[in-house]
Amino acid sequence: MMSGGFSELRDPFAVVGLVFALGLAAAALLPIYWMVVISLRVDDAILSWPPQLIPPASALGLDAWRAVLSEPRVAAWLMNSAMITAGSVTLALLVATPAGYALSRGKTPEAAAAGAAILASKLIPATVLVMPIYVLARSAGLLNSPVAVVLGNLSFAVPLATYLLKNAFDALPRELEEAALIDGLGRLGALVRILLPNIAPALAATAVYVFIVSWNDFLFARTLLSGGTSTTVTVGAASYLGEITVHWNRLMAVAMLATLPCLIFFLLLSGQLTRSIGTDVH
Amino acid sequence: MLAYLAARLARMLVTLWVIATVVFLATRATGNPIDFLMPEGLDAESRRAMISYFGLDQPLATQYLSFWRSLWDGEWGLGLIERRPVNVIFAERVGRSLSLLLATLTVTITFGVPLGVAAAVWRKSVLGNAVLLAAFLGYAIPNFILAILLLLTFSFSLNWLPSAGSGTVLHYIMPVMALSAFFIASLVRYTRNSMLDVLSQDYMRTARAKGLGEPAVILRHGLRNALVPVITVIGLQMTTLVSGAVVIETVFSWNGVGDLLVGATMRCDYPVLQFGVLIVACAVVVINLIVDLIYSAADPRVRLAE
Repeated sequence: MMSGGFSELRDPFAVVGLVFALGLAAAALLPIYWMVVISLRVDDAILSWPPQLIPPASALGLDAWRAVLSEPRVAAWLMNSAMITAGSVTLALLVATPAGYALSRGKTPEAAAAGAAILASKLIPATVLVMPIYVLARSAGLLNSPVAVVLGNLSFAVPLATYLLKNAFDALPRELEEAALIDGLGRLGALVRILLPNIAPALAATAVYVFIVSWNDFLFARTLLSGGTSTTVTVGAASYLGEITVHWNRLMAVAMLATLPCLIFFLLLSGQLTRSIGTDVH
Repeated sequence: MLAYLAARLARMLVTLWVIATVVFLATRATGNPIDFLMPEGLDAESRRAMISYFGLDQPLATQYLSFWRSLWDGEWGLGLIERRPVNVIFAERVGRSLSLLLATLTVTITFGVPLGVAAAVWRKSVLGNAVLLAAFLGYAIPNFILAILLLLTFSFSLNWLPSAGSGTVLHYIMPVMALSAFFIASLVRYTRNSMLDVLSQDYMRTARAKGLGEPAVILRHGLRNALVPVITVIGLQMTTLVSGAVVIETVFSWNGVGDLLVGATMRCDYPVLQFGVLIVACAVVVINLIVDLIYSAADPRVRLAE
C-alpha cells in the first residue's frame, strides 16, 4: 500500500498537503491516545496541570479496567448494544435488499413513486421521528425493549440502505440475470445466487453503515430505554458523567469498549469496502 | 434559473406540509397524546383540563385547521416546563443552533473534499494513507464518545478550550470537531471514490495531452466532475447532521434547539416538541434547498433536466 513512499515530496503542493494530512492524523489520534492512557491510569492525577502525556509507569495499571469489567451493568450494556446492532443490521439488509432490487428492476410509475418516497423519508431527521416512535412504542408495549430501538434505527437506516443497494443493482448489467433466467433459475434464485455475490462489496458497505449508526445511536436508546442495565453502552458511558466524582479512567475504559466493536467490524469488512468504489454513499 | 428556483421552492413547501401533517397525525392518531405524555396517575379533572387546553376534544379536522391557524398566527402555545410562549423559547435558540450547523457544514466541506481529492491523487503514498487512517477513525468513533474525549483532552487536561456554553469562536471548536468528524470521514471516502472513477476517464488524459498543469487537470477537470455525486451525498447526510447536533449540543451545554428538544422529550413537553420538530424539519428542508442550488451551479445539466 505504501509502494509510492515519499516520491511525491518533489512537489511543493504535496509537501503542504503531507504536513496537513499528518497533522490531521495526529489530531485524530491524540484523543484516542489520551483515551487509552487515561483508562490505564490508577490515580486521580488525570486532571492535574500540566498534563502528563507520557505518564510514569508507577501511575499505570489495570485497576479501572478491572473495576469496569466487574460491573454487571457494563456487560449488560454491551449485550444490549450487540443485540440492537445485530438486529438492525440483519433486518435492514433483509428489507433493503429486495427493496433495492425491486426499485432497480421495476420501471413502473408505482416503483418510481416508492423510490421517491423512500428518498424523501431521508429528509426527516431522527429528531423528528423519535417522538412519534416513542408514542408508538408506548402504545405497543415496546417501551424499554431493545425491539423499539431496532425499529427506531431501521426508520432511518432502511431508506439509505435501500438507496445504496438500488445503486449497486443499477450498476449490474441486465444480461447477467437474463442469462441466469435462461439457464433455468427463477427470479429469486437469480437474485440470491447470481446478483447478490456480485454486489457483495455494496452489501458490506451497507452493513458497515447500519452497524456504525446503530452501535453509535444515542438518541433512540436514550429516549426509548429506561437506563440502568437496560440501556446501550454509548448511553451507559454517559451515566458516568452524572456521578458525584467522575471516574475518568473508568469512563475512558467504557468509552474504549464502546468504540472497539466499530473499529473491528470496519477492519473485518475493509477488504470488501475498498472494492465498493462508486457504490457507497457514506 | 428562476423556473428552477420556483420548482425547488414549490417542492420545499410540499415537503414541509407533508412533515407538518405527519407530525400532527403521529401525535394524535395513536390515541390521546395526553395519556402518553403526561405523568402517570394524573387525576381526571386535570386530564380533562389538559385535553381542552390543547383542543384535543375537538374533531380531528377542526384540530387540523386550528393547528395551521396557530402556526400562521405565531400562537404556538406555552411550553410546559418554562411556562413561556414556545415561539419565544425557540427564537432565543434557533440562531445558535443554525450557526453550529452552518459552521459544521463549512468545516466538513472545507476539509472533506480536499482531503478526499488528496487521498485519491496520492492513494499509493504515506499522505493518502494518513488521510484514510484519520477518516477511518472519524467514521467509527461514536460522536458522543468523541465529544467526551475532546472535552477531556482539550478542556479538562490541556485547559485550552471552554467546556460549555456558546459565546465565542473558541466555544465552536469542540462541538464542530465532534459533529463534523463523521461527516468529514464519510465525505473523504466518497470524494476519494468519486475522484478515482474520474481520474481514469479519457477526458483527463485529453486535458493532460493539451498541456495543462497537473493541479489544473485535477481541480478543473477532475474535481468539477467528481463533485456532482458528492454534493448529493452531502444533501443526504444533512438529516443525520441535524440529529447528531442534538446529542452534541447536550454534551457542550450549547443552549440550542437540540438540547431543548432532548429536555422536552425527557419531560414530555408536548408544545415544545411539536413545534421543535417542525423547526428542525424546516432547517433540514432549507439546507437541502441550498445544497440543491449548489448542485445546479456545479452541474448545469441538473437545471436543464427540470
